[in-house]
Amino acid sequence: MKKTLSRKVIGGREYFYLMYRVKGRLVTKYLGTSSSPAYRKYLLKLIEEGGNESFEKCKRDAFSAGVPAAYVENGELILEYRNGSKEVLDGKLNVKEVRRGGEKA
Amino acid sequence: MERKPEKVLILVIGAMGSGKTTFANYFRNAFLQGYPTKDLQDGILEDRSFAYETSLLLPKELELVKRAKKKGFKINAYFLVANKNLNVIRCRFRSIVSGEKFDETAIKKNYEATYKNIAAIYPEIDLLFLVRNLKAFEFVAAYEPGLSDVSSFLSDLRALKSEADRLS
Repeated sequence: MKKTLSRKVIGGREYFYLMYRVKGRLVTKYLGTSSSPAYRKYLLKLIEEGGNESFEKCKRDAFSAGVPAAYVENGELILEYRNGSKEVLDGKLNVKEVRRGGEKA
Repeated sequence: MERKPEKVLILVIGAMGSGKTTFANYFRNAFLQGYPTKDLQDGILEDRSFAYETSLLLPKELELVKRAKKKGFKINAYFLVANKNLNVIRCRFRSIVSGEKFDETAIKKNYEATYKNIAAIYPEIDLLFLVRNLKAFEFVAAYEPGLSDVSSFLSDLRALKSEADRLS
């Protein structure tokens, strides 16, 4: 479930809210200030999850811009294209392997 | 009595192409607490919380961070560790998309400088996170420089960098 963190400044103080949809209905959860336990718990959860959603967003942004997504996985430098094919690059940034559907092409 | 708000300088540090802007944009309201990204000198003069992205290549930046500390800023830092070749690729694609200049030689030449220069501002930082960015952002370790020696941080950083730079 996608949750969006938003920030409001009221009376000079900052407050954080988490917003998400439940069965189409927008739910707002109050987290408090940056020192509140609820806000810190949310940050810890983000740390534990390791920003996986950030990778999916980066992929979408790269594909929208017309370039492949670039990353390192299991010691391999990979370019992933919108159609799912992948190029594995060597240390000199030359393509050493092409994969389609997870298999070597 | 009105509470005086704490001033925070959030540094997002990493070599060119390591994902600083992506990190800052994605975690704007989380780890950057909603603070805007500003020029370092302007932000310090305005005397309000802000974020700043840097590869720590300019001596002036190191001096300004020390000045921010003297002015009472609390300094939190996120140091991004990636892979040198991955950084080159990211910069290349960014130049294709945005038209900005791409200088592979400069990127490779300056890569080591970021890792070297972090030691100079380590004592000024209140809370420092090491974040690996090879695919997704992974929070690897956190340090409180007031409580931990720079040598243990540098040892961890060298190990993480060495592992990240190794390609099969």
